[in-house]
Amino acid sequence: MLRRPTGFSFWLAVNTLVAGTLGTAAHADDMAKAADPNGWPMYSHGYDNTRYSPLKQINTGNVNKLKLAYSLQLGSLRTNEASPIVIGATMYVSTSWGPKYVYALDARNGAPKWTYEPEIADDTLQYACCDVGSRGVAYADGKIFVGRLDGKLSAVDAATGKELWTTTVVDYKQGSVITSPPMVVKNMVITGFGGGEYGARGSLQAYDVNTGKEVWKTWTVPGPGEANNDTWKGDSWQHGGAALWLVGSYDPKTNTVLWGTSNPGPWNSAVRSTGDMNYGKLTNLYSASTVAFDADTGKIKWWVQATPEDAWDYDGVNELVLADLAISGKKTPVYMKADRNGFFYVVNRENGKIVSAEKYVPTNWASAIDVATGKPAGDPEKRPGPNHPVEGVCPNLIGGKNWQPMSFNPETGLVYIPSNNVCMDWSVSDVTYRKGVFFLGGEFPPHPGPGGYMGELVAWDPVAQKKVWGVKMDLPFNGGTLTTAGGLTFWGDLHGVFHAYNAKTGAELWKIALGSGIGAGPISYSVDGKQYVAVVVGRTAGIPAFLGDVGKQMTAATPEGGALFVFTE
Amino acid sequence: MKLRVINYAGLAAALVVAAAAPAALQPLRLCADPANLPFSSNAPEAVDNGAPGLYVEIGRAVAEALGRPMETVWSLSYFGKRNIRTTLLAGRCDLAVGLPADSDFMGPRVIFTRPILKLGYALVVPKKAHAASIDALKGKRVAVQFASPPQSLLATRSDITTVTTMDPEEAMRRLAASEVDAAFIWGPSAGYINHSALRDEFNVIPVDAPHMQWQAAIGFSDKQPALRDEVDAVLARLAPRIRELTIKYSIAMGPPLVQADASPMPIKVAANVAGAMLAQGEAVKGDATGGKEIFNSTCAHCHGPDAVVADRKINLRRLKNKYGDQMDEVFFTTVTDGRPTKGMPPWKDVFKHEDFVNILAYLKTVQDDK
Repeated sequence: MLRRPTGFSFWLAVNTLVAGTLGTAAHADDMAKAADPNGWPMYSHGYDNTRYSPLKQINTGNVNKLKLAYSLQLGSLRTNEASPIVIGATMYVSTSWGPKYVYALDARNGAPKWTYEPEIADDTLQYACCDVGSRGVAYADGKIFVGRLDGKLSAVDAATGKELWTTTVVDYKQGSVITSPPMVVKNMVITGFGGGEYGARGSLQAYDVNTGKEVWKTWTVPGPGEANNDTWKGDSWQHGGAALWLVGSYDPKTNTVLWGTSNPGPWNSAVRSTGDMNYGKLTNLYSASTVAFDADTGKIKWWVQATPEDAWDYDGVNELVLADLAISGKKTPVYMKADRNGFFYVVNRENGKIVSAEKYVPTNWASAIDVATGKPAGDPEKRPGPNHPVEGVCPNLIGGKNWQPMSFNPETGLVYIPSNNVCMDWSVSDVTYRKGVFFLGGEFPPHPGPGGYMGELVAWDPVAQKKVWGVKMDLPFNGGTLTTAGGLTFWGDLHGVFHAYNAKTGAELWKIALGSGIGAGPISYSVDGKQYVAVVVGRTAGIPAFLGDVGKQMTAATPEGGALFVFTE
Repeated sequence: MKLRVINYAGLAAALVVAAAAPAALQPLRLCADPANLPFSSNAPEAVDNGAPGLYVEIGRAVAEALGRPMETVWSLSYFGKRNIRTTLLAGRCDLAVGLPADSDFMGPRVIFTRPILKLGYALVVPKKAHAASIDALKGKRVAVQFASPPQSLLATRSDITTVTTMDPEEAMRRLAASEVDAAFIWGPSAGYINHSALRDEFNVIPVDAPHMQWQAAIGFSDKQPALRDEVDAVLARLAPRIRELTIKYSIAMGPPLVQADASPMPIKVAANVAGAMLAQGEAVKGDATGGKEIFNSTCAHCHGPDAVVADRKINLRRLKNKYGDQMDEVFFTTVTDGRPTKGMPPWKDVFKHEDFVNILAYLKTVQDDK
């Protein structure tokens, strides 16, 4: 059952739907190109976020012959996190710092076509909590859509690089920046933004692809009079976080947009809830959740909250990977999510009912998740608070998995998760400082989790909820994954080494050192009958600042950098 | 052997440099936030009114006591510790005034002088109200800052309604508009806003409770222990001056309150506070024709005649497009202090404020729409 390449048929379905609902022939043709299985039309290949390429020219038998096809210096150092997209024979890739540049190039040889350089104010780094990454751009209707560090969203002519419109999504001076590509559904380009810790109130916003005018906006922290506003204490909903700073998914069958939300704010859970295990209804919805929105109206259909009254910075933003799995022998439409909180969720994506939720990394803040209610069986000893420091809570604040994307291969039935194994102590700091004001914050020194390693590429069976194979790493926060019909899984690490594994067995088949730490997810595409594998390198600079000595090891592992590498046979 | 020769050469070069520019004459570089009154500001209004901020003036007093000129290195401190890492600890400046004098603050990499100020949170209430304790706030609406200790403290009190604000300006605005009965916010900001924008309508009462008051000092990189000792040695005699400055900026110094006989010096509302406090700021007006003349005789050298230039990065016709509502602020900051790393010199000693206003008025007539 699982051996059928469902990724491909899924794409055909999407293509049909889009072509059927949207007007002009030219437009339909554009979308057909976007849905081309030879391409890599969006951040994680498709609306399903599988990062699965149906191409198999490069496979287990010949991957050891991969050679460099071309390389491009991105002209922007540090925290390069982009997955390029490939439409027809053109690749589009964004750089860090805003992005500083978006390049269009010939996907066969790297020949430059155009460069877009948005006007980004000089002071944006001041407001970006977690450095200046850009994870990529989106394509539709002959346009490239760029979410920007300065809280803006721009549309650029895909043929010329000329800016068509720019709209302000959020005021970056409230600590809210955009670092992820938007998602285009029908005639709308949909985006969130970051800033969960800094007083933002999260929202998902849809704009008209042609004009940049707002179509709908849905707060992910309900206001007075809205359902679930009473899950917040006092006026804490006004700055409740639940920001949507990573990427969304879309299920055309039910016309549903699925997106994960960040942790709530502020850190002191007594301000927004009870500060202990007796939170009752004060769960702080819809923070640390997966939220299902009606694509046409933005109306919230249902939600699954993974971490009620979060106290650990367990963002719920991680991407939702959509697939049809054989659950107890029955084909079930699910989303899969490797949550920051250490549990791997398999949830029916048509009704929000949890199928299963099991630990995929060493996790001790909760022993289990009640699948009927979604409620975690929390350990009160591991829940930090103002008068309650804790030791050895796992995972630490970067989570069992962070933003680096996982992939799902329908042929092996496995999910390839770039996981972390880091634990932390947690206490209130003596004093911290912002703009001349002193206040208290959290202190969370990290240490390696059980076993002493800090990262692991985990090949996970989502039906059996168990690990099939793994590759342990000395450092956390390694790169995203790509998996292909050629039986391969590609993965880059913080030492700057790019690997190919046998997707079924975990045997390493090929590797090459690329010179700077890798966080970005690789991609694969085919032009003129030739398959390529591409990856962006440029080690992270933001997260290590939160991780003390572990962070020093992460930045010492490689120089900073920014380059695209493309391989072929 | 070769290595040793190189070392000697390096040492000799260092000695030459030292002889050419004696340390005593090198400017003392102060790290400061350009938009953070009452602590520091480079806004022309603040500078022209002789009130560039408490920390800038303390920096000047220290530099003067050491017989050195002072230079200010401006950088925003929205993320305080990160800012210190990238300025003070990166060697871009020598000292930062007003850091928490706590060895746990950023570990051994930041070293301190003796404490020079006591800073903390304060209760702000109408003059006629008597708030002697937190209990007096029962049944009241109290503005607090997001993620601050007062917010955490009042979160444990079900009989007090907190109203969350993002900064002291918002809290004081809501207090002045009677949307709240009291504010429990960062004291130095409260005192300053109360005096400069609200005619001392309110009492600012420092609150002495756990996690509410701190000692603040001058911080240095741990690579500068000698400079720290030098500064430490002059602080005792600067104490009266620092006290005067706290009164000038209406900073309540913790119990006991500022003495009744020491009335604050009158200072005008500074731009950023005025902007935050008043519903509508007055637009900058000026003489565009005069501005164009100055522009074309001086600025055009790099920025092109009539501000027409190929390089987008220095194309001033894109200022509005690039900075939007912040255009004026960015303009004044840049012309005043320059962007030395990008080739733009400071012009504050060349032109008068009025000239800058005229140049800006001219530039506003030539902004690109797209």
